[in-house]
Amino acid sequence: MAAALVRVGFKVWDVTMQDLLSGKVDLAQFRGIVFPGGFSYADVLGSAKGWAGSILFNKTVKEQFDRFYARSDTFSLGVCNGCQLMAMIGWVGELSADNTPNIVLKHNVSERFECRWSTIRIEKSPAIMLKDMHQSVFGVWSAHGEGQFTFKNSSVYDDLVKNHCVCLRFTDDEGNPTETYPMNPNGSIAGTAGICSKGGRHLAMMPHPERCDQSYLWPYMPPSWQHFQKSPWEKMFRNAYEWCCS
Amino acid sequence: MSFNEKLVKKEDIREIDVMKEGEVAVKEINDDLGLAFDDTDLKYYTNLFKNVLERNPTNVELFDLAQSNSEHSRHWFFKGKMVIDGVEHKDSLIDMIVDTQNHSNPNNVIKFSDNSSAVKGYVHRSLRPVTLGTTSELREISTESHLIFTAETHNFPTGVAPFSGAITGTGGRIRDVQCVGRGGYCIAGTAGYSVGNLNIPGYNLPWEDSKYEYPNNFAPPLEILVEASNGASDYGNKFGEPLISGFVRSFGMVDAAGERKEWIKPIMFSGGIGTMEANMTEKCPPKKGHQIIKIGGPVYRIGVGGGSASSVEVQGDNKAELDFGAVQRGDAEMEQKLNRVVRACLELGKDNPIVSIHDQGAGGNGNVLKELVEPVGGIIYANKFELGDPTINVLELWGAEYQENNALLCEKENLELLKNICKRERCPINIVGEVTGTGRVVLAMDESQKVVPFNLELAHVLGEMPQKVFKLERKTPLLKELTLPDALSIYSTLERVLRLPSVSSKRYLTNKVDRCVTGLIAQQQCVGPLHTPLADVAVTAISHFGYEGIASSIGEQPTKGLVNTAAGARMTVAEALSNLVFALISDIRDVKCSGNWMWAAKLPGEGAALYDACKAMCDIMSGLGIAIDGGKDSLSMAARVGRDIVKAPGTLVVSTYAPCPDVRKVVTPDLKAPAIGKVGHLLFVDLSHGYNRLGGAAVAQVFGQLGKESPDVDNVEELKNAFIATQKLIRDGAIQAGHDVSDGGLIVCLLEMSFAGISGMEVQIGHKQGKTIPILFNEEAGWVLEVLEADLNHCMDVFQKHTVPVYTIGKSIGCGIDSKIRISVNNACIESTVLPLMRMWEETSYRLEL
Repeated sequence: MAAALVRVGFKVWDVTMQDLLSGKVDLAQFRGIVFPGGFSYADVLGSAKGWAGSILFNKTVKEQFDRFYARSDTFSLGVCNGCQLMAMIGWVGELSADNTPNIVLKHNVSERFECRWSTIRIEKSPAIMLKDMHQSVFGVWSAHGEGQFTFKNSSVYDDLVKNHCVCLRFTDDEGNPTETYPMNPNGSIAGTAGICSKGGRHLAMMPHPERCDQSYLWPYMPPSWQHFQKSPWEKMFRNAYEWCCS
Repeated sequence: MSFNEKLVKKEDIREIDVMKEGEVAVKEINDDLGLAFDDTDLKYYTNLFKNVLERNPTNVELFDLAQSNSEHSRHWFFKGKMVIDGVEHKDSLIDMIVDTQNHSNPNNVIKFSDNSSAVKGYVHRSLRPVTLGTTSELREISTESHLIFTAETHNFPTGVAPFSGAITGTGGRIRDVQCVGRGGYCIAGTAGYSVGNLNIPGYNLPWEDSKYEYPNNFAPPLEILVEASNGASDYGNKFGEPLISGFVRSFGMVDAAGERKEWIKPIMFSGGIGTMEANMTEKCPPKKGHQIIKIGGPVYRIGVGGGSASSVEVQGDNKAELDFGAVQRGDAEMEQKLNRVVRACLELGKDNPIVSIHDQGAGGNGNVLKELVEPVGGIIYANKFELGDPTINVLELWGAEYQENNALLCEKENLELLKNICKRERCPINIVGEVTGTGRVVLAMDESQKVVPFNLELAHVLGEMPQKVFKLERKTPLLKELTLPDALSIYSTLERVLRLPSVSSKRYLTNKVDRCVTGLIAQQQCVGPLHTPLADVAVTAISHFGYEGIASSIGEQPTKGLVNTAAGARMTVAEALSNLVFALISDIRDVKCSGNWMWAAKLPGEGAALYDACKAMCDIMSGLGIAIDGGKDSLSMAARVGRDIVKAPGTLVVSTYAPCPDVRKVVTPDLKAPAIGKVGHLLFVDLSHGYNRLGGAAVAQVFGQLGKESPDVDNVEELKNAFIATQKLIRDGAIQAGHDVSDGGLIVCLLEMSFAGISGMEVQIGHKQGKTIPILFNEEAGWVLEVLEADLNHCMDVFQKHTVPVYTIGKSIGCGIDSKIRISVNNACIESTVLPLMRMWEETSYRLEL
């Protein structure tokens, strides 16, 4: 992930939760925050729950996160465990007064960890990282056990759709959003694979663009694409960089 | 918050009265604790205490000696003197293996000595923190990395408790990568499983006999295959190590002599690929004053006595409770913390506080701490260890192989630095002792040193011990000519062969394991538009900012070894190379291998068979210019079933690894020409010398037989030339697709290329004499390439220049799942389409996923 960001021009810092909790670093100095995740806190109480807890229930850290989120010049990206986290802390979706999120990533319908090269469609959305990429359909690595977007009630999902916040969907061979396993590895409604905040600065997605941001990392590429020097996923990181510079 | 659980520790340090009772006393504790001492051991230790040290040992000391000097830890057999049929052999097995190095490029920077081996790698750019050990910007720097590989098996725990056994197998192997030199970086893993007949409910495989008995101290083969692969996958997924290559074999058969051979005791194989800093290859020697540090998880009563328990000759001869006591649990999150601590230390460059590091494995603290302070000695305080379970007594503390723990040495002035790194990564750290320089290892209960359960000179524990002598006899296997049913059609043969687990789709394994984490994976198991698990070779980059990398492949042909042990070893090497050939590597002579032996070597006939296999492997490797640089052995590969002993087929697994100058230069098996609207030419690099031998082949197994004559490599030079020529063509970009002939033979190789590329083909094999089934299903060495019309002449020229036999056997033609497949030999022919054959090939996998 760090390499994908460095490649497009970012200065990247490695920040651990321990650094934040011990006050060694303040989020104020950063323009973007990326939650790469990966079974944080062993997911023992549920995916990203331990991670979210250490943010929500520490006053100083929570305030830092709130301030960062409120700034108009910041962006965030959560991938996989980071996506689960962003739902859990209300950076996509919302939290109720008792910190209950209205979007929760639940176990895949298959009840298994699924690692697949899935096909995804980028929808028209305000997501700054997906600018000029909408209607693209191509492959992406996906590897998770708890990637099923579930909603407190159907109006939560309806609102997301209405606001064009469902920005990534798993598709079938024809490029249409699908709930059919295994093309949709987790069973999310209408193939939902990623959502963004209304303003588009915050993006949470289950699949892994950073694992295929160079073309040699693609396990398969259509023959007609093979003369391209770059992977289309690099564009996503470049968008973030350009947004910061503009 | 703390809980007072009022748990009582049962301390049990006692003297074993050797002075008075002699050998009887040693024997008694041997039986009591399951120490796996043989007669020589009993005599050696009785003499050591009675006559040399003139004192009684403690139970802790004897327990320790059993772990440290077990077959598992000391490899007596591989280092032993071999007397076969009365003829004494000058070289031990290990001597022969080490000698392969004399016929290959000297590119090893670590071999046969450390937790992993390493070859010279590349200078490349890498991301590193600017300020170290704390929150920091990451910047690109230039660094030189060497390429590392290690492989081991975790058979016994996986047989008893498949999920947790495989978890800890993966965990232990990852720590072998971490603990190379003064620290190593993990990149990717490989995994293999050899199990008995699956007997999948509701899915009859006609060569499996459901009446076979299985003992209740081992999990059944089906459970082992599913749960062990779940365990290995789960651990890697949670740790963040992709799994990118592997093998599966299922076999259980009563041979022509009436002897049942089956993996009742299974193989769970785990290999690791990684890199290390070029200036961190050598551990510094221990010096007086060095601090002895343990990092990782607290002490639990798990994995006590694993070294000796897995060293008994026939599993099932121990008390069941001892067997279960040796099984462990894993915690991937703790392993990741350990990993981050090691990485943070390495990123300090020349200020790396790790002087020396070893992973805790079989034998627990006793083993790893002695290894760390050898030969100068040290003192260790039992009260300095963080206990996960307050009832742990000192014997357990010293012997338990609790997981996710490494031991390291560091200078006193670096303690704060190390503690800070551990704090940042939330990794427990215990400073448990100090290097003394007395040549003794002393375990004291606390700093008062009033109670000292262990106090021995290292020379007495780890020093030269007399070489063991193994008197072995060759047993010629009783073999019967293979008899196939009359008028057997190609289609009905495929009906069986395509369902055999070693041939069929491995989709049930690849879907559940992360194959992409790291962002460095250039080639994992799956290829083509349907992401079909057929890749021959695994390839990773070593940096996110360049294309240099590591290529790795696996060979294992144990069923051929049942027919002819030497031929089986040669075919194993040939398979590993004919897989590796599809990634561009620096030079065939840069190829290094881990050789892992899983063999019931101490049972009649098997020791000599292992010797012959080892000799054959070494000879062919020397001929090819490749060499072994590490490996492990597991020699108790037999299980007691009722009154019988069932041996697992003697198995050699060869894992190759080599520098890959450009990870984009990898050829996959999926046919590609039809998808771009062209017709491809299929070239068959045929190294069979006209033979169509079926012994130990898939087609023999699916008809419940072994056959009489095994495929073999008849011309080593030709195999080497074929490798070199194919590499040249890959460098030239002249090859579209390629796949090796292996389990299932030529026809399976062709069909797999078809499945992977969803392409049809028209093939006519006219260059071989013989019957249809043997021509199509023999497993002699070779590979098939797809090339475009424009490249055909160039390819033929290159092969001719290298005097490699190559034949154009047909065309890839037609795109899509309903494309026609037509393969004809002499007057026989199979005509079908992609879908029905692919269904057959996928069904066993599908059944295993239910």
